[in-house]
Amino acid sequence: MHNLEELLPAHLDLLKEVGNIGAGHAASALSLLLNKRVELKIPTVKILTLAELLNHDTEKHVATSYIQVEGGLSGHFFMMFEVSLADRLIRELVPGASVLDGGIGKSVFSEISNILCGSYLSALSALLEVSLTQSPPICAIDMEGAILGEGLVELSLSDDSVILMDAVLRNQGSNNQLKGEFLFFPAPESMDVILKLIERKSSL
Amino acid sequence: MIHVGLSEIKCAESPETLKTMGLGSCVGVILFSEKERSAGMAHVMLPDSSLARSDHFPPGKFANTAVPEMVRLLTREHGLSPGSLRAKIAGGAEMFKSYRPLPMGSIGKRNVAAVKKQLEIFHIPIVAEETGADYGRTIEFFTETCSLMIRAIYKGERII
Repeated sequence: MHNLEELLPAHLDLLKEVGNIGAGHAASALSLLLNKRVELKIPTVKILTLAELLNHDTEKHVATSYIQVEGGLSGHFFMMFEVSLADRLIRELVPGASVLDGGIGKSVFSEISNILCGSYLSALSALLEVSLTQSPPICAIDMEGAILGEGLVELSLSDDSVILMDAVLRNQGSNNQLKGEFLFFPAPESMDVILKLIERKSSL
Repeated sequence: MIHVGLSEIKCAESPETLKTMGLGSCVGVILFSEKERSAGMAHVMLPDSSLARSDHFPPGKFANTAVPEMVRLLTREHGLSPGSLRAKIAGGAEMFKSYRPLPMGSIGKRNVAAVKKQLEIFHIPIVAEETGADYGRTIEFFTETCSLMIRAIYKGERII
């Protein structure tokens, strides 16, 4: 499938389920890592144009880690936290560090994204019976629009629209709130793999 | 204020302003005539339309389609003389610092080079630019003064 308009609501529901399973595993991994309860908001799946995506929160100051996914399906994975919340996350593991310190803080942030993306993907890999590889994470701390605009440049070659599988994780503590977002953009050519496998499984 | 979204081209006359937000590797291209106080702005995402894997794309998306289209709009529809056009450009950053080569190379640098090549073809001089580096930019062009305001998170605001 190379035309995103061919995706039906039922397909989007299946993708949502896939996203839910991936994000659920990532949430448990984060919970283990921080030794805190982590809540997962019900993930969403949307098809939207890049312009729509980037018009939203364009100038928000965020820390983002970007991982490319290849293998049985390809896509682009982003872990995104507002800068102050990224610092909170890091300080759970390394007190006093900051994502802006250019050193340990940034490494910790990248490593967390590596672990969480790994859990997300291993769940997908088991569900879809494909092998997946992830690139080492690269980090950028700046305007959300500028970061996503560059990260999605490859997807923009085939289509002006993208599939966004979005999940928001937060922890429950009231005074030390943590909140972050996972954005997974599967490549359109990977849709066939995902949908065929799920359809085969659901018809068993 | 007229908002120029990703891959869009918009034109404005004094006293309107043209604004685009969150340029990373994308390049904001402004063509203007100081005499007429009119301008066009494009938010260019990629260097060349030969990279496209689909036939449907807005002309503002690629440098080699955005510049000719903007020249056409300004000269044919807004009646500016081609010789009066000047350019200001901003953006073309590299947001991700990596030792690992990215699949598309430095897309920011390629975008800036492609925009410059197009401007050369149309003999439009670049009178001001702020390109490259590793940070995002929001830009606003004031047709009244033909000045370009650039805002970045760590660098504050300046005018070129």
